[in-house]
Amino acid sequence: MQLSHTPEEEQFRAEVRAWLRANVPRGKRPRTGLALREYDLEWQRRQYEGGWAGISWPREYGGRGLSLMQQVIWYEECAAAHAPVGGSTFVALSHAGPTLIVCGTEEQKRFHLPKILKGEAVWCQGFSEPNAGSDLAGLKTRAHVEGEHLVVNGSKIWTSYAALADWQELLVRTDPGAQRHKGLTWVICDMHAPGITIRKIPTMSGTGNLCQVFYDDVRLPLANVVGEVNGGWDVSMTTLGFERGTAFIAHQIHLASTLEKLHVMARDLRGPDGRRPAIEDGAVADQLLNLRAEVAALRAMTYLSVSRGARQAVPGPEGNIIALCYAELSQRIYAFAVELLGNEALEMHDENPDWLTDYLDAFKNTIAGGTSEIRRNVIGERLLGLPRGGR
Amino acid sequence: MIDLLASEAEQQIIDSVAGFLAEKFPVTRLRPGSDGERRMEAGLSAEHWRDIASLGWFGLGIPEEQGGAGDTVIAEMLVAREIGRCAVSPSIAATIAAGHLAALAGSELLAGLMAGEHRVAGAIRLHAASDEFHLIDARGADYILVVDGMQARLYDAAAFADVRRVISLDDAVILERAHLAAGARPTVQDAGSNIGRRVSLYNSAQLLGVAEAALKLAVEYAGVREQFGQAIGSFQSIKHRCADMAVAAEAAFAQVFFAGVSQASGQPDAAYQIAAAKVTSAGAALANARSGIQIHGGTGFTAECDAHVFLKRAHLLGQLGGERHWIRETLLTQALDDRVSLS
Repeated sequence: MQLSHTPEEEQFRAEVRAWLRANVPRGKRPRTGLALREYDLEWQRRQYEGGWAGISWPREYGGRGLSLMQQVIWYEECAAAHAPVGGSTFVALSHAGPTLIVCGTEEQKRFHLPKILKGEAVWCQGFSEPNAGSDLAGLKTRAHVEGEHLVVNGSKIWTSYAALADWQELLVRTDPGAQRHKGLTWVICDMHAPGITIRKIPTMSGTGNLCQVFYDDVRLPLANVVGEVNGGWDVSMTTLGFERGTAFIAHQIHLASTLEKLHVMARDLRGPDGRRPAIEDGAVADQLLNLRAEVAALRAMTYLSVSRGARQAVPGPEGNIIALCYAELSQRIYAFAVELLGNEALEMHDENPDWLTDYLDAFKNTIAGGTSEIRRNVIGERLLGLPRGGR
Repeated sequence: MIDLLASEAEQQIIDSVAGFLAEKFPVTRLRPGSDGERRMEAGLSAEHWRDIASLGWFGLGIPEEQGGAGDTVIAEMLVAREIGRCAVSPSIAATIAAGHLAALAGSELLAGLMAGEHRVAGAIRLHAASDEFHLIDARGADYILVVDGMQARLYDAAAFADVRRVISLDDAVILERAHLAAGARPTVQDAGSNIGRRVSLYNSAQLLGVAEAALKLAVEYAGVREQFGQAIGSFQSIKHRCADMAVAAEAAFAQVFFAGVSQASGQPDAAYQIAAAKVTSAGAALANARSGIQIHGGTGFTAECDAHVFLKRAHLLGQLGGERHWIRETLLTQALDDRVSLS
């Protein structure tokens, strides 16, 4: 075990810091719509032009080929510089891209990876269905082979940014006769293809990027299949490994800086007695102390992921642990913010709309990308070796 | 460059320590026999102390030029973690820390500490303004290690008066109460916080061991105990509880050893990380111990099951290696910039 700052890492950090200072977008990021897409892609383009896109991606596909640690340094500096995090480029950068690098054909990699890095494409995910959420392998969206095409019929749901996306990682059933996990195919879907209809779904936080997608005889070239036809389950497990593993680095660091804002707020706001600052209240101080320790541990877990990443190419089920921790901790932190705000939390006025929207939005964290309950199943079965049972 | 996984050399330390403890100090030693008596008395006998000294743990992290093995604080924490798993005496960690204190002060006590000739026990001040202490496994100890805040002082055992044994919640240790004589001067003391931090790291590593051992015991039981015709671990109510225990153990593992490498490499935020490690590991040990008892059901309530050992050890270690006051001070006052970036 060790921690050291190599001269390369120090220099890298200094370069990142200087570049970010000059280049981080200053305007407030739009929460929805084409304005959001443009904002996110413009930021990605700027990173690409600055030579910062795909820091740990292989050089041959336009990445920098640097270490996962340097990727972490990048995210840490982004958080310190208040750079935008996640958003509509998240799926492309954090799972579609990494999945293509591991499982895609040479042609798919050459076509898609540069577009992702250059900020020319938004991706969305197409796994969940109205009747296949936690039970992903029960999905029913059908695709049959017709000549050189897959013809898709059915519906996907809970798709963030579908209305803004160019491409989708789509999981479909190609062999209805096969065992549940065996008849699935992972295919790249062109979101502009004829036969696709998108319905926006309003959410409890008022952020409007959630959609349902309908497929009516949508024709996708067989060349878009990633992995084998009927081999989609393994590919999707790779995707979810990335989603639950390394993709959380940026989120973890963002959450750490969120808690720091809250720390400042606890000094500025009046506490429950109406006289002293909130932080001088014993209960507030104790909550803050415990949250700070939990955020510290989440960061250490990120470093543990980085340590594992140096020894394995594709993240394993361990990623579920940090994903579960992040999801539940983020909810506790936003709930604490609302508690600190007191009466103020009843008003969506200019000073605090972010806290309230973020609080409401964080309810998705224990649902999206695998509910906390499913994550606990995976931890119990795949990491602890407990027997499978009824669901 | 960061690596929180054990190197080959570190894995060898883990294996050899775990092997020794499994043979000499399995947790099962604490079970009552058919006559209600235990196989092994509380505390550590002189013979056990000699056995342990012969393994070189007391000199493991002492610099080579001072006669030690020159290993890192991480190596010592790996030893402490295994000690926690088997609920062996916290006086081992106290003696390791005292060795560093002697080394730092250039004290002649060092050789005797490394050789196992001097025995050290830890003490907990009853409250910040009190001169009364709880002594842990101090029978046969030559010195008592006291840490206030992060200030470490080593007193001659004779400086403690009115020593009387009390009934220990954790009955694997001998607990005593004693007064520190007015005007008693420490034999050796640390003007800085180095030793206090080590004490906290060793203690958090033991708490981590407790959390991990409680998890392991519960998962094993959940995999074999059958009800309704299947292993109880196949039910989500049990499986999810085990998953939460695994999450707590992993968070504690990551934070405890991140704090260790932060201290070893002299990071400016090492104290912060050490305080967070105490909070995380103490929380994990208590939560996992409690869940472990529940998962064992009726058996978990009996002394014939080892689950309660971890609960009691978690309470004991929770009072050691970093008081709440120091933790609050450290975790609430440190500025953001020291921590968000590594440099």
